[in-house]
Amino acid sequence: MKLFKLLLSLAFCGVLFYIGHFGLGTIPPLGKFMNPYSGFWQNETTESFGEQLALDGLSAAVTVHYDAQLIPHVFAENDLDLYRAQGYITAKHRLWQMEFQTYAAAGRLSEIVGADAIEYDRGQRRKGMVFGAENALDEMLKDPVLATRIEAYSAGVNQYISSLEPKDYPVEYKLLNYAPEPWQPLKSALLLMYMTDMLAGGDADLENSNFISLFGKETFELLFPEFLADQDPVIPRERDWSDFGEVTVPIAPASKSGIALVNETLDQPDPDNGSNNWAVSAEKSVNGHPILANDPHLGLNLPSIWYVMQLATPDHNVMGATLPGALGVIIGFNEHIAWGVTNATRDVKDWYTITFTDKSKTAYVYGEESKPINTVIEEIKVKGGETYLDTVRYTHYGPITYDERFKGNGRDHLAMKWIGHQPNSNQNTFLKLNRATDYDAYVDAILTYTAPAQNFVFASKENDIALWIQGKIANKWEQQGKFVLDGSNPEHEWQSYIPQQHNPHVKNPERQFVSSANQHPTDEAYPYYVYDANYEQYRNRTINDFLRALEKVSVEDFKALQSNNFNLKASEALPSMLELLEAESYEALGSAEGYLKTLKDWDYINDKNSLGASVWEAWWTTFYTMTWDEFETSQIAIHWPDSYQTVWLLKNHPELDFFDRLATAEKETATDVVKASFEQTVKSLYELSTTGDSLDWATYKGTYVGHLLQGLPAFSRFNLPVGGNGGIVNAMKKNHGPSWRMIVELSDKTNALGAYPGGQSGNPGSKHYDDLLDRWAAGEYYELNFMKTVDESLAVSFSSTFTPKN
Amino acid sequence: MKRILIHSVLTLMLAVILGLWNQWYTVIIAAGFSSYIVKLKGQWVFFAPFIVIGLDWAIEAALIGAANDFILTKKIGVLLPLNGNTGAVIAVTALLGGLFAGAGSLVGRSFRALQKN
Repeated sequence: MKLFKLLLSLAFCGVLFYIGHFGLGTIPPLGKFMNPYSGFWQNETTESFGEQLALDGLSAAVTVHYDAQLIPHVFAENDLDLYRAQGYITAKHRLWQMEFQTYAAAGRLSEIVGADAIEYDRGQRRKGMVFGAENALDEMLKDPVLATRIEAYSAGVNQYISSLEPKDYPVEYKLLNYAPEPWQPLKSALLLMYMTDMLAGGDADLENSNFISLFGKETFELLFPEFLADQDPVIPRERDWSDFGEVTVPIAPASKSGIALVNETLDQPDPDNGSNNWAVSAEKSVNGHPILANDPHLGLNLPSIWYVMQLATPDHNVMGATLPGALGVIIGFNEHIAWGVTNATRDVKDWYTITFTDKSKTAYVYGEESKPINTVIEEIKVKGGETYLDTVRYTHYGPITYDERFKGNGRDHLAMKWIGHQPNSNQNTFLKLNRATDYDAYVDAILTYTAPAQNFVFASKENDIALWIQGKIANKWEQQGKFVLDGSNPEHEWQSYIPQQHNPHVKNPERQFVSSANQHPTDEAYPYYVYDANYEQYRNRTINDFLRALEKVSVEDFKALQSNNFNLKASEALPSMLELLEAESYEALGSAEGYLKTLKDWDYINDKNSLGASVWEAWWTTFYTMTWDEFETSQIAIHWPDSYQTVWLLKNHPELDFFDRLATAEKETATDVVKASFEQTVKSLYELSTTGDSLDWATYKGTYVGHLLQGLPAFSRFNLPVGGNGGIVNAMKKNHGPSWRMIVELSDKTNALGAYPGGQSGNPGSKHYDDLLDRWAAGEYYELNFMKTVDESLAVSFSSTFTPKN
Repeated sequence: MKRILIHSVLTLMLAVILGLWNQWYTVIIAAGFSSYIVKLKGQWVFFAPFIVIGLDWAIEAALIGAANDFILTKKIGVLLPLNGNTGAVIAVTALLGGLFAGAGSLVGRSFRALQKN
């Protein structure tokens, strides 16, 4: 009996221990997680005092002043100390995020979250994310100066990691029951690949090939034109390209490539991943100093993708938004210049059909010869499960992403050729920009930058403004890579690259401002072939119209423009759509008249309190989906026409077959779809209103900033009171929008403002986790306290000192 | 009653000392060892360490939370889910600490009983 009692008590205790230490299913390890001495309670803390710490490898003391927003102002005596300190400080505030993002980039999420992430991880491996990061790192390490900086950063991160006891781990490690691993320079390269994938990882080549097969080339050209009448390109139309002289553009080979219909392609990055930037000259500025603005639009996450820092040595002093995991400042300013970036989207990813020489699939046909396949066995470790093995074959183009075992059409082998895989030293571009003092230094900094191609906006205290569209871009024949290419035909290769000096750029234009918002880079006169499936059509015109309309522009105007809620799409589409509605048809729907009047009275402004904006956005979404219902129900991967072309077709081709709805027997026109979509919208809005929910735009949209871990609600912020939307300068969608807002006036004493939807701390237990968010939502800014010297301690809350370890 | 007091003090002392090791399960060891050394009767075998460790965890948690306005506690209250109620999060913390200690104590007591055989 006593033995039985012992066994029983041991079993009871054992079960509790197991759950307490290892968790159960989605339940975290309750003992580890909940105990107050090493569990989450240890993360219940706000950073409020500095530290005196000896760091390995430092050559001199480093002082860090933190201001009220927990922005570190780092003063070091030399570059290596600076980047070591940057690594340490960034890890101190953002360790979990920086490591998690590199796991995501490398296709290792299954190690953390289990089997649910296997398909995602396979996709990352098959995209060659690590392959690209290794190529980049090899190139970076060839530069001895850059190599030592990257190693110093990495050592700084590792010094922080090695100082941690399990009780000090960020709370997410405790929740998921794992530990940080040592940081390596490769992780910095992976982080940059993560950004490259986000910004230059999209394409529509296979979808385009599908479309041609299903609907023909003529319809394709009608729905997806490369140039639009209204477009206002990044480089003003006045730009004359004759200074390029004769340029060589390859001629399309006679042979084309075809492919069986593709059902499933990789998940595409959000097509609204983009940004706004602009700068006005001293002449156009109210105070006589150039002003520059930038706001990159990305997924709205916590911890925020950006971490603000000032980084200073006796030789340079820079401040702005950093990417945790990468060195230096990515978007910012120094004592001489300011710069910003928007995505210069281009089709830099192409697909090649691979023809194997035989069934062994160890070689493939290339012209008259064959080339060997390099086979890589990807080992995907799975938390709580067996390691998953996936074979990825590499060609000289890149990895065969789609094959008989992964997406595609289950038959064809498609190799990816992607600029993201090419050796690059893009990290160096940003470190050079951090130190640039004038236009020439800015051009020198971006010279070798490859991907993701960016519109680098620039302004200097020497009163120059400029914008270069910089990236390594293949010099393609007309429509090369717009559709799938034949990998066995050497003529289908990228033949060369556009010479860097021929990348579109403009300096001190007559209109006294430069701007970009992910629209088409140039007009038709640019001598090289330019294509992308996702050029922006609205924000750019609103920005340019705004800047053109003002004779002089102030910082206040810049603020107003970044928060501008004018809905250009609605202003172009709604009058036509209302015209097609006949009000008397809606007597049966009691509320229709009311909604109709709301729309007629609406000022096209997506303010947070606007009812008109909610009705319009609901109607547009219904109309758009109803119009392209052919694609919604299709089992074939299709890229949908954009809003601009949809509006154009509504106005100019109302009889187009696509306006016929599959769900009905009748043959509809655009008018019918306008009416039917309005009816459906009214019904759904009416039903929503009867539940007591407000229909004001902010509530209807329900913008949230979600924790990186699948939007874990406990660590996310919901129902933010914000207006705007996609296609609006204030590009705040439901979970996507301005991830960093910066305005810099290059006066004698640089006047810089910033805001972002989050906070400096990655710890959900800190008040600095999301303390910047509410002011961002309100369209307000923080002054960025740019300290000239370590002694000019502006608004310092507390300081840390790092000293060399003996 | 005296035994209960001695047991409780011993459990708490051991928990504090072993706690330096920073492993949550030291409360199991502390309570188990205490019950091996000090004989308790009936339900006290479970409830004495349950109360003392439960209180220890609750007080420590409340002090930590209060010093930071319960910012994270409220979020954990959403995660668990306990409607973001900080009192409930502290109560669950205490309950878990008590359960672990109580379970450890039962093992210690059973060992003691077996050895007396």
